[in-house]
Amino acid sequence: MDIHNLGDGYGLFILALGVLVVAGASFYVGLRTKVRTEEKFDIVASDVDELADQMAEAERIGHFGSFVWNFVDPLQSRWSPHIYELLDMTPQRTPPKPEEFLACADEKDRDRAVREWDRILVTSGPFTFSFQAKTKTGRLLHLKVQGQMIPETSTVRARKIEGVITDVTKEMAIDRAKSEFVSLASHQLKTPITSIHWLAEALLRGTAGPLSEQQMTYIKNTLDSSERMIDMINELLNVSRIETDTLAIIPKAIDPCALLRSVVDEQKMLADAKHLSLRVTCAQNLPPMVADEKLLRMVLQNLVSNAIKYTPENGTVFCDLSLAEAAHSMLFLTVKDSGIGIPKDEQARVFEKLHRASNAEALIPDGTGLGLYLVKTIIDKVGGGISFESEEGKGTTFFASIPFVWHKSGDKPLAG
Amino acid sequence: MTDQQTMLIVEDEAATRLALADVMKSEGFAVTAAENGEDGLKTALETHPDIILADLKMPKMTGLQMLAELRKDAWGANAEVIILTNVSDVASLEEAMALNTFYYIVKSDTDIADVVVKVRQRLEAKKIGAVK
Repeated sequence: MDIHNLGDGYGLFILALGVLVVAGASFYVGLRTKVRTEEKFDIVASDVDELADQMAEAERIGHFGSFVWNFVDPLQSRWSPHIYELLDMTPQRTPPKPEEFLACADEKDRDRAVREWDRILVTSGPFTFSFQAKTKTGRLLHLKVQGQMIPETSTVRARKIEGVITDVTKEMAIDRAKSEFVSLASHQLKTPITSIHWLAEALLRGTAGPLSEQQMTYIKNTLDSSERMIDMINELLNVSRIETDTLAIIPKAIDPCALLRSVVDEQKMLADAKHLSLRVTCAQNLPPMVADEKLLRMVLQNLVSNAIKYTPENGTVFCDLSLAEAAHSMLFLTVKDSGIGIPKDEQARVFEKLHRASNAEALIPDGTGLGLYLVKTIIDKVGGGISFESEEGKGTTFFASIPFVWHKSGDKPLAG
Repeated sequence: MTDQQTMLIVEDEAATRLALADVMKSEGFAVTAAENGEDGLKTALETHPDIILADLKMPKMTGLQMLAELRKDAWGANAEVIILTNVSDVASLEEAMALNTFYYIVKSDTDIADVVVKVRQRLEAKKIGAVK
């Protein structure tokens, strides 16, 4: 058979065979690829499952759960299973809205939690707050909510809020026990320190006869040290009172502007020593205030003294009282300084107990880290709010809104 | 000195009592001291001091118990008492005020000089008849 005579028929056969071989090979390769992809998918899926299991286990062990509330695409919002477990709730496809979550706050903490959330909704960046919650089955637990607010581009509104919710009930109980211990110890310390203080005073007055110059110097120093110790004891007592919820609020009529001016006057010497420009302004239309003078004084003292302490020579400190524009039942306090500022990555911790910013610690190693914690706790307790703006090296401005009328509560007045 | 004013200090902490008594003596008061509420009450009823400075937390008889007993006596009902304390518990202090106490002083936050001022103010007011 002349191969050439097979002509086109043979060529077509070869061509068809070629196509078949290619198609078969492609099919084989495709099949192999598909199998490999599926294998990979299975491996990845099993890894994801394993990670999810590990995460769920970690959440159970650590008593926390993670959340995302996406306000642009609510279907992207989610809670990890442990949050539902913490709150004795049945898991849902889309989590409850923030307001429904905040409704689990126990009555005494609800207003504060809602206020805190409202502030977070318009403040981009990290946040922390905590409150006592009541679960669906009536269990009381203390929740700490930590996270970050991510704003929509070019607005201050939240696009997304994500973070973790931790059950800190045990930690709070331990903290309370510590506070009670501190309170007891502080009270016990007051007795001997009073004796030291009064005996030193008696010596200084010459009650036991005249003193030499050197003896006078020693006694004056003893007296100063005992006064500093009493101040510290009082600060510890105030913290423990706040934490054990036994702090009394004893409201009476006061003039907030006169109080601010007297606080600033007390600290003027410190400001003068650093040649600071220290200014106070008060709006003309401030209504009379019914507040606890000691507590309000403590708020003002801490904010003003921080501004002075952390502002370098020749800087400025400015305090202003006005009516909050949105709510006329609120006094609006601004304390602005040109000081060292708060490092951005530490701003979320500013109001935490015992926390001190690294640059503040480096400048003044002696602080207790209790001042701003006390300020925020007092303001929260009376139904106000506090926030700040700060840039490291440029300065900090604190904004506080404080109700004009405070309500009486508690059984122990503020020490000092 | 016939018009020397008399003072009773009722305080269980020896060092505090010593400092206060010595300063008050140097300020011209005739001072007697007791170290618990029971002795304080007995001394007060026997000697009728012009003013009593009393602590609250004391052994045997607390300051509040002493005050309650004192107010039952004809003289004691209107005796001048200033409470000296480190207890800042409003309930106790309100109870003391309800027992016709003129003033209370938180010791750790007060200089003796301020105590002297308060005592003189009260005795002066009484002398000119501004108070009963």
